[in-house]
Amino acid sequence: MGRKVGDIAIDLLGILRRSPAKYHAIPDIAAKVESRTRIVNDALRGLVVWGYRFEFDSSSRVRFVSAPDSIFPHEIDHHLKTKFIGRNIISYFSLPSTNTLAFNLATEGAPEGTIVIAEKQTEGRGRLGRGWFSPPKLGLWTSIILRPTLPPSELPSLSIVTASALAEALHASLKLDAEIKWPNDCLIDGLKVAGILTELSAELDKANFVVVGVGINVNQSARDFPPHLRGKATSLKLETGSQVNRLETLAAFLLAFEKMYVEFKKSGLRPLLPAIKKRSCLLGKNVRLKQGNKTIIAKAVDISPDGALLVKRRGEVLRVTAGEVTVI
Amino acid sequence: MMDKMIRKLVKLVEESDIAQLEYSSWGRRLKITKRYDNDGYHHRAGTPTEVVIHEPRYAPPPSPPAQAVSLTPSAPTSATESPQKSDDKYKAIKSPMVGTFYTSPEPNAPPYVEVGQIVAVGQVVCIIEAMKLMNEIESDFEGKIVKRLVENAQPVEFGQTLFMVEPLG
Repeated sequence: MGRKVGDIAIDLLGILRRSPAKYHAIPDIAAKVESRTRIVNDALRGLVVWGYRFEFDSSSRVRFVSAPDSIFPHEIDHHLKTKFIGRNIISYFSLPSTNTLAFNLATEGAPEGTIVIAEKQTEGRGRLGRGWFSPPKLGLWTSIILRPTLPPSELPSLSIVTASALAEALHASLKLDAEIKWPNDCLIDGLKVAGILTELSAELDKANFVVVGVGINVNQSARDFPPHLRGKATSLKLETGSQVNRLETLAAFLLAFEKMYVEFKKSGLRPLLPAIKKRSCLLGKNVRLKQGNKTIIAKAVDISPDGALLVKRRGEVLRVTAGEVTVI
Repeated sequence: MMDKMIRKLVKLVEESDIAQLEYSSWGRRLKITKRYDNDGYHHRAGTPTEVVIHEPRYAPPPSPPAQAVSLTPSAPTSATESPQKSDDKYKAIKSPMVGTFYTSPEPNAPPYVEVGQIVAVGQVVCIIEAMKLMNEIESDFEGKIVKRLVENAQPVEFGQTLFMVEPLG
């Protein structure tokens, strides 16, 4: 059986993209992708349906114009600069939750760095079983499978490592002053732009794998947020004032994440702490801590090398490893 | 949509290398398809051009009209499928896209649905893969699957019938 039109489409895109200024004769492309002119035409038509744009000259030669901001694995791959994060991509239009599928795939042995991504989630989850609003095509809803060999007790810090990598990437690629809100959120001007949900499969002394889920609000307009999120959430588009390319954002994030994760695997959280503290929005502020039904007010002073938030109350330093923190 | 504008667009298609033009405005879609000779390649003046207008199913949104024109290269049209003949009492679940049809989420997993099974509204019935992006296809109605018309791992076209369903009630 011949190759699928979809595979030929990906090959021909590669050829056209390598020289975007040049017009290519369709029979020449057909020869290069080892297919027939008719199949190449079918593939081109398919690509147009999927949002690719081409230009034809008067002799029906074709030139690549633009690609859609869609999460096709080959399209993500085209933007990626990482070594192993995102080098295996599982992409769905709709999933109940990318974390749930990633967890199942990891259980079946999916390699480290595998990402699961969806255009929308129907049951996107946040921390403490809260929902995560994941509308189609407006955000990046993705989960990364990791297999670190660190003791399980160190792994919850991966949330803040991820938040830090994302804040760095948003700063580097979009010049946004993103901040980290311990333990797992990314804020811009006090509004939530991204959240992280880390889930762990571990035995007593050994982690089997970790799934880091990331939800980034990218191209929502104010009216795209449901009423209960208005005044709490923001998007990259709202902050930059223009449409943001999701694939470039994803690639920038995964590159920053890979760099920090490699360091984290080697030496734990300690070498990353200066970068994390620099972008932390809690340090130096008075915060309200809610743990179960107990609420205390204290000043956030530091993040410890094991990832705990250190707060000071009446001259006494307390370690916070869980709970809800709000700046007051 | 105004007749004058349609005529203008048809003329544009007929006089150019464009094989097919889709235009949407205020939720209305217009599709103009140029017919080809049997050899598929060259369009001769006077060959009929097909015009299809889709009226919006819902009232257009109050926001400014989104306009999109997509051009498809002049190319031989693949053999058009004869419309699926179906018994009136059955409803069709159609493919919303071009891609590859899969009955199950993974190669060795059981299929989403079997013939004879009752499906609910919103239940996933299959996957259409397009360039490695997996699209779960849901049933729009409640009913019994009476027939699957596509073999696993076969390519499907836009609008192609995947399943016949006998509605309940």
